[in-house]
Amino acid sequence: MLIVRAASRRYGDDPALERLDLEFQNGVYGLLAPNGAGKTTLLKMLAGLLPPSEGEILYDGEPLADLDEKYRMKLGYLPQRFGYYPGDTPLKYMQYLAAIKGMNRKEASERSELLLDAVALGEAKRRKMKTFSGGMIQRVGIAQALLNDPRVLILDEPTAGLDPKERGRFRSLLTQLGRDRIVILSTHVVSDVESAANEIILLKDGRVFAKDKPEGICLMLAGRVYETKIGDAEADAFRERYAILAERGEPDGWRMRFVSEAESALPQWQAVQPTLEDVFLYVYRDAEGRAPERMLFPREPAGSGKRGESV
Amino acid sequence: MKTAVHTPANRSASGYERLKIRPVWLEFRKLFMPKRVGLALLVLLLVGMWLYPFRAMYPGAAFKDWDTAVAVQMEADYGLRIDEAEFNRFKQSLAPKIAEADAYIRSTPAFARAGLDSYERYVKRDRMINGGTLPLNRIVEAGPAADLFAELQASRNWIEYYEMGTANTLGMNEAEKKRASEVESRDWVSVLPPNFVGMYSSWNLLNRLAVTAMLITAMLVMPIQIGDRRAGLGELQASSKAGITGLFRMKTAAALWAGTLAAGTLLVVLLLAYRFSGAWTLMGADINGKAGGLFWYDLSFLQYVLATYAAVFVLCWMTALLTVFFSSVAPNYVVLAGAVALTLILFYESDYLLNPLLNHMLGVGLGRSPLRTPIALGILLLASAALAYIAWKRETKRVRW
Repeated sequence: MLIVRAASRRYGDDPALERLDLEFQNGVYGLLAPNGAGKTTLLKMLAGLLPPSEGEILYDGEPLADLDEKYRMKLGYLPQRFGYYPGDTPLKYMQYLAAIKGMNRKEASERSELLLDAVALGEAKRRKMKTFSGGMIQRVGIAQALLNDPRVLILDEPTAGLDPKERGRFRSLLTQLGRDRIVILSTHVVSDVESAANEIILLKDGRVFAKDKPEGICLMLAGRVYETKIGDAEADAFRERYAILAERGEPDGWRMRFVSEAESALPQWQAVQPTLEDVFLYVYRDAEGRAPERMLFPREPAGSGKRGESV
Repeated sequence: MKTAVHTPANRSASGYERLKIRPVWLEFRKLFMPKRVGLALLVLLLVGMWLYPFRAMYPGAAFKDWDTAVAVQMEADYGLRIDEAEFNRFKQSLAPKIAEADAYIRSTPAFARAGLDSYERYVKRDRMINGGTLPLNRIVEAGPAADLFAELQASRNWIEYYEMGTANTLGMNEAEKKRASEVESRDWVSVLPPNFVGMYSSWNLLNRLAVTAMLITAMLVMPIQIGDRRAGLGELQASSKAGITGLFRMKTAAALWAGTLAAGTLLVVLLLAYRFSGAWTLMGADINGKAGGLFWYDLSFLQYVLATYAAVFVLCWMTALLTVFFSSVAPNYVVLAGAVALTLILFYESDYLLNPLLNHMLGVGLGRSPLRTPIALGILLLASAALAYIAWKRETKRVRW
């Protein structure tokens, strides 16, 4: 079990994370937060790369600092940005990383080949990595994290660069892996964790905002998410009044998905089941009530004849 | 991406136990990128002037090292130690060659015009400040007797060296005088020509070898920390079993291997150069000369080379550790290259560092204890290790890679 106890992290005087309390058992944990919310800092702390400024992190009851290489032997880590020598082949790269993970030559070789096959890079294993696409590089990163068959697998934005098909397969892989180990992945792509994660952790302002099963997280907005159709004339006022989760332009107005704090809904509003993405957008909306900008297409100027689409 | 990855829940830890050498080897191998090796070879060629003392290796009589050639012949005739009887036989053996030189002089009109009719008179005139033999020397060097005259000159050098008498003990302390009298009391003289040891132990060979080996070591080791950092491998390395400390140790070990390899390779080249310069038979000769070239210990030339070449290994290890430090703290390659270059220039150009360390190591009469160089090298090595330690401490505190 991995336990974060009252852990804080500061960079100089700037607090990045404040008094986090978390517990991780075998299973898949999705760490959801927009960029800059402290996901990477938390993952680095869990990987033992950053010591907490205060508090402690324990694995099986012992502080990571005391466990040192005993913990790292059980750790698989994919950083948000990881490097490689462009002239290296993935096989050579994996074998190098296997060696510093303490694996002997035979095991390193077998495991590297197996994992490169598993991430569909078996045929490219002797090609120089400088010829690889971003998705292929990311798959090498995922493979290297699994080299030592880790008990704790920490993946920072693992699906960046993967195409939809690879993302689907990656989610299946996560589900398998999470059966007998701790898998923690950070993302700002909700669909990455919606189906695969046993628990979701939402970070906000350097603190844990929520930690629950995906269904439990969705319950946060139960009975408050609606969809309705709004004409062009009322659209701006509606946007000002409600927390808009998504909107789609239609020939005669806008279809809005929004959160209402009011106790009673208007007849034209249709109550819908909240999704994880609804919660994400609602929790991380800005002070004016707008969802994170990147989640919405920009609105077209009035009269342009073309309207934006929802996510 | 296939989803059926075999990921057993439990595994034996045996696969993690046999570690150490392979990661160090992989770090070591990373230092030998083809471009870098090519550059190191280029440096080796450009700085390869240190082979110059092996003049015998170059074509053309003008470059032949006659002093060594005469000593090699003497070793073949009399052995490594020359006693008085052998010395006299050597002197007598020169008579036919002197007669040949006399004949050449008598048959050459320029010598007659200068009033010279024998080799002995020519040598005496040549030693006079205004002897006017320069045109005659040119005629000799361009003529068929050039080799004969060069060999005779080298033989005369050797005879003078033998007959020179006692070492100048002026300014020597008691221990040095005692050592000088020990060498003087011998009833034999080493066959080594007067400048043979000096050619190696002063400016010519050992210093050039040291600088070349240090330069190659620095070039190989320079990317050891900065390379991985710039490639973005830092976080993966720090989260591996080896961790920051393990990686630092491996890289430092790899750097020391690179230094050992550079020094070792040049040692092999040096020994091969001696082997093929025709002077190999002199390697067993004692290094102490009757009238100079005094050393604290009775060592053969080969033993002396091996003992003093240890300094090149130490200097390469020092360079490796310094370069590890620079590679760790430098923000980019330009700063790194500048820092390494300045350090090497400081060593090479300053008469206060490399030259006093290496020139005439273990020599008597220079006011030096025989332990001075080993102690100085030890201090330099410790200082470099301390800097590498500082670099390691910095790495362990790194929060961004």
